[in-house]
Amino acid sequence: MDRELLEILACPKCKGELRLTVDETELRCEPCRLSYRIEDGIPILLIDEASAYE
Amino acid sequence: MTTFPKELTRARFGRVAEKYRKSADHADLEDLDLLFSGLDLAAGLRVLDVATGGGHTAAALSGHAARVVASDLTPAMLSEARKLVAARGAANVSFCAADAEALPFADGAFDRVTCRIAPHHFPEVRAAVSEMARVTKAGGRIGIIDSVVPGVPSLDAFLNGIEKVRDPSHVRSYRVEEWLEFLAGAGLSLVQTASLWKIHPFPEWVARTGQPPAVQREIEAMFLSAFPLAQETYRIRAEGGRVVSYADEKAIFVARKTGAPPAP
Repeated sequence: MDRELLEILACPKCKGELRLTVDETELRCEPCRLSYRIEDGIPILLIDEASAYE
Repeated sequence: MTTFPKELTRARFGRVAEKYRKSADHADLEDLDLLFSGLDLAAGLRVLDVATGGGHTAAALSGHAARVVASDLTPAMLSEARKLVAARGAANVSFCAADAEALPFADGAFDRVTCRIAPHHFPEVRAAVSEMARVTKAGGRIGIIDSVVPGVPSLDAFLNGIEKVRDPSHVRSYRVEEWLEFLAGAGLSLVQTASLWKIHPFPEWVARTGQPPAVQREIEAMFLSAFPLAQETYRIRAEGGRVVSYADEKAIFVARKTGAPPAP
């Protein structure tokens, strides 16, 4: 996951910060409780493809 | 607005992604020279290319900017874009699946934002322009290229009608006046406009969408039965009852996000 890209990414829904999971497979928006997967190094920042997490 | 048109766009471009990377039409960069001159590109800038498709614009931008982010609604399209960018040896391009109408970037994250020959696919073009403006820094520039239609309603209906048959995810090619209103509506001030007519060799153009032969023949029939003003305006060339080529107009808009840059 590209660090410079990570710095400017935001949740497509609330535009808030995203946090990279430790295993670097997902980006999470805590306020929205949404998780966006990273596929083959490409973050999939589509609201309708995000999954809710607890 | 439902998400249906976007699903359609993603499904269609997922199927034909490779055709767009290899498309001669999209690799023809005459319009990009005009766009780049208006964008006032400089080393050190961060640029976003929205709806990058086959990645042709992102690849061209990579030599004129510090960092390029290429986004597209269709992940399969980004894989193709990544191949094209890698083949050009550009190492400063990042990829991100994103909806143009809900961009996943912080406010003011980019110095320049481009979007080339894509807004006619956006269900809510005003939302997309407003998002592009949001992620641009104050004083930054946005460059848009898209197919446009003449102000004559019959010519507008003719070409948009054909585009819809060729590609059900086509929403609308707008008039230049509509574009000026979208840009002003997003608080952007126009820096320059230009337009050029692009000739499309018909067989490749019609095959690129992956439509079945019956639909391709229907589109050809629509061109062959065009009314005289449409024949002349769109430079429809036919030989032996087959369409050889036609032309459409691409407009180039460069606009600036006004307002003072944020305090350091």
